[in-house]
Amino acid sequence: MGFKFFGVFVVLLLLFGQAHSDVVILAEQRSPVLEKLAKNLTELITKDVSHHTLEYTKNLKSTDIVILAGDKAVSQWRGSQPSIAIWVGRTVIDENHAHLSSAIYSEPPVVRQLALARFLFPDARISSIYSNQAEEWLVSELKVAEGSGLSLVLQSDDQTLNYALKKALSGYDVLLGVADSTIYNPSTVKNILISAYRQNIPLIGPHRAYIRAGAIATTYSSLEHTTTRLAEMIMAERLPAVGYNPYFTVMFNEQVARSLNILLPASPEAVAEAIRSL
Amino acid sequence: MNWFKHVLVSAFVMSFPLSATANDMFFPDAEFDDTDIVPEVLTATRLKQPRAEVPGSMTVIDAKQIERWGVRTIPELMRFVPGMFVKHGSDDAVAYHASSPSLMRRMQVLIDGRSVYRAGLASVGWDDIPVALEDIQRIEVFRGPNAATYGANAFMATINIVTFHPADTLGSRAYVRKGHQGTRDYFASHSGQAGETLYRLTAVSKEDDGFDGSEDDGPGDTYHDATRDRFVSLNLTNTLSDRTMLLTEAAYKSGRKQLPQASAEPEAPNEENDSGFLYSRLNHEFSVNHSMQLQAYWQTESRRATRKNCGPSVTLSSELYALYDQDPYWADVVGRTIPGALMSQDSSPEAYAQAQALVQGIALGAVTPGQVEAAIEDATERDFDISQADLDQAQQIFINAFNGSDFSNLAEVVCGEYDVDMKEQRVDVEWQDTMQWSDSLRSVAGLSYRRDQVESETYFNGVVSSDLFRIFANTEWHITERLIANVGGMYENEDTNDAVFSPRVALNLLVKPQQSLRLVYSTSVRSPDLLEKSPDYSIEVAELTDNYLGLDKALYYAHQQGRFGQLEHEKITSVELGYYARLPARDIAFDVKLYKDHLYQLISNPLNLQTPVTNSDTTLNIKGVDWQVTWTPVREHSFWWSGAYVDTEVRLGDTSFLTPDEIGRLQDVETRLSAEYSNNLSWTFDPGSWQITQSYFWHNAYNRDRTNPKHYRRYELHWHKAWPVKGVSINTDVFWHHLIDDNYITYSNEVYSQTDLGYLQVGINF
Repeated sequence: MGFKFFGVFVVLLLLFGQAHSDVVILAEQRSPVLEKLAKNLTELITKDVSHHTLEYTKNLKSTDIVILAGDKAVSQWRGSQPSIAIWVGRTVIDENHAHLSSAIYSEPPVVRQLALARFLFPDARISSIYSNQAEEWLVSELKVAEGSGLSLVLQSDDQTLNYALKKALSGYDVLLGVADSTIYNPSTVKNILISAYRQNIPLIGPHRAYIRAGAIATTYSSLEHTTTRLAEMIMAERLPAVGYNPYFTVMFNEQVARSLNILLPASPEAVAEAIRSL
Repeated sequence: MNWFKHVLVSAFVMSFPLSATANDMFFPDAEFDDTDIVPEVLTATRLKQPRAEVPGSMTVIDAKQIERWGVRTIPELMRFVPGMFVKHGSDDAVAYHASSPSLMRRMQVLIDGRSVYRAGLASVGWDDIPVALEDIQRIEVFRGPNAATYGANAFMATINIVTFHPADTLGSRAYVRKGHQGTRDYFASHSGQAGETLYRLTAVSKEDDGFDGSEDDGPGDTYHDATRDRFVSLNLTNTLSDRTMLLTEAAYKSGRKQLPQASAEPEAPNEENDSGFLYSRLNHEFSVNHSMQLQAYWQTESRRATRKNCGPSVTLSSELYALYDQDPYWADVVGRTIPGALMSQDSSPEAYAQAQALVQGIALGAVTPGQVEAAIEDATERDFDISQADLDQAQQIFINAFNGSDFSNLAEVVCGEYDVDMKEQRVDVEWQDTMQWSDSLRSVAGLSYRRDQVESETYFNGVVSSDLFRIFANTEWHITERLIANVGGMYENEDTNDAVFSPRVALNLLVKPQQSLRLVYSTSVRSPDLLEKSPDYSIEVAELTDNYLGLDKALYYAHQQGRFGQLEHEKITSVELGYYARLPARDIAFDVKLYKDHLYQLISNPLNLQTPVTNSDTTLNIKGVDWQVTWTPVREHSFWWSGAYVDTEVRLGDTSFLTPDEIGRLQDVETRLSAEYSNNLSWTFDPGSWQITQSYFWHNAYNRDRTNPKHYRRYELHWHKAWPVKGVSINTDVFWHHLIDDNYITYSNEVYSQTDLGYLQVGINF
């Protein structure tokens, strides 16, 4: 209660101030989720947070801090205000990094996903498929993970996904999905899951959307995690560099686990906690 | 299925970059549908179910396990299943708990949904199944009656073999295997992708010399039981759309099998066989909750064997053939017992003299029925009721054999040959529909039609067929979160048998998600086969040597027309109490089954011309315990332990026409293959680059020999190492088995002369 009153007081105070800085969330379209983000963020920081579409760009004050949500907002952004990109693929962030002050990558980091796989299946042999079209950053993250035991299978250009799957599934216990859209996309996901599950091999990741499709688990950052991280970034003396969201939790697909006869830990949050402390 | 839905959702989601973290906020949840996940989820009810929710006992042998054990044949794999008994070698007999070892007819065997249970002579010929062990993804053994799901003949167990999807075997594989007992196996397989079609083509040649024993248990391998089988098989898997899949399989097999030589046969016979099938299955998902499967197949099998035989000429007399119709046992005496005694002048002069006197007495009409009855009852130990009419018919036969001075023609031996060719065909069409009605209720139901046709001059005097219609359904209901009921049944209407309904009711109580207590009541039937139901079994012997009857070809006197006896469905009712548990923390899974089976109307007699009357009147009560444990304490070590305690009680039906010896054999036949206690232990050590698996089998009190327990102990070792060389894997395998006790299991000629046998294998995968 006290905090709320204090917040209102501060906001009122700032409204009457001259050089106050506001936080503006820009996106192609207004969305209830971003409204919620704005509302939650307001409660965490001592700034006014509002949500607008891209047309609002011309109304921005030079002191505003801009949160760019989504591809379009990021790729059209040319403003001089401090900016943080969220809910954008790492590739888009890299392409536009000259115009951005900071960003939170939306993909879970490979090492974090690997840690999750390790935690759930301690003895497992883990493999990952990637293609020649994989982004440079992904390849370098994969190489790092390879150093800690991840087996990499490169899908060669002249072979279909089935051949790469065959390689990645035989002799391994867990398949780690990564953000390579040549491998993982809506037209391949069914084939990948069915092939893996035929051999009793669970798929971890690549990200949250795949849980509903049938992946067994992934780490992800929720709206609250994004809010927390944004608050932390905004309140810092200077904006932290582009990076992953250190706040995350774990999501399971219980039905998949049941079908694969895998008993998952009862609390995803405890798993996330364990991974964080690694 | 919801694949379609979620793929659409995913497509939308992923084209919209916000989705990566926020899709769950923008889009409604599409729940995942697990019916597309195959693994440990089983087909006991045609609904894929987690292990703990299956209404019955299951043993699953997957490809990894098959690779570990390194055996050559499917029956050898069955040895690891609790309560399964297998004769040595690659012979046909596999029995669950107890069953006659001569024919494998009380288990259903399915390969990718296609039944390989033969209709003509109810049996499964393991050698005839055109599937390479290397192509098997897993074998699900449902231990218990399962007619509710698979219909008649899923009697004591159902063995469901599932082959790999071609995507899982992409590339090429080949090996050569050589070893003792003339083992020479060759395997080559290639899987690839052409457009949306994935395919696998496999070619196999497999041969061995079988057992070393001989008819008289002498040294050397004179037991005529070598086999050579060659086949090619094809699997085509097409993804027609996100919701539709088409599987097509086909195979052609050609084999050669040595048939054991009967004592009167001048030379050992051989069988040539050819078989083939074409199978197609269409799976379609209408929605998340609704799918269907339509399958159809045609299969054909042809066996050809010419047998040579010698016997008393009188057995070919038309009068004796007619006499057999009236009194087969009396015809046996006239045609075989008396001539047999007349041939034994030197070895058994007393019997010879008696037979001489009997023949003369009957021919001259000088003996009374009572005198004859007393004499033959004394000689055969069988009860007879001889009338004057019987004597008159025998008199005619003997007078025809009179050569002017004596009856020595009755001891004349004639030789000839006859064929036992048989051609079987089956067409089967089946449709099934699976529906998820609510979170707690789902069902599968279907219809099928099958036509079996058998052509054989010897067994059926032409072509016979049977038509079978089936309706089945199974419902799985989660009554509460922890209590699951499975209720199902199948109604079958076959034109050659009575209509039957086989129900099953089961309750599974989930103690934990992966632990359950189950109580199952199930029933099943085995349908009498076409030979049992409509035999027209007669042997026409041709190319006859000189005989007093002056015949070139003739019908053997013993024959069966119409029916062997009063043969009803064999029936089983089974009650089982089981506990399944998986403790993931220790990677240990176990299952214990306590059961009480009541089998009745069993047809225990072999169907042959030496057994004139066969009845379905044996009762077999079996109770006991099955157990199985799999444990992987650490990655390098895994254990498999299975075993059973089997307590049997056999009650014979009408034995009034049988001799004490025949009664004794009949009493034993259902339990010949069973051990009272059995344990199978297997340990795999896999440090990564190589693998060794050692197995030990210990079976106690085999062959009903409880007073003087006969053990069967066997040790197996399989060593495997793969050498990766530039994208190619060279595989080497050594398999060795050691018979600790070299007791035979069922018949004394089924033995190996050496106690150590093995093979070497070299292969390549690329």
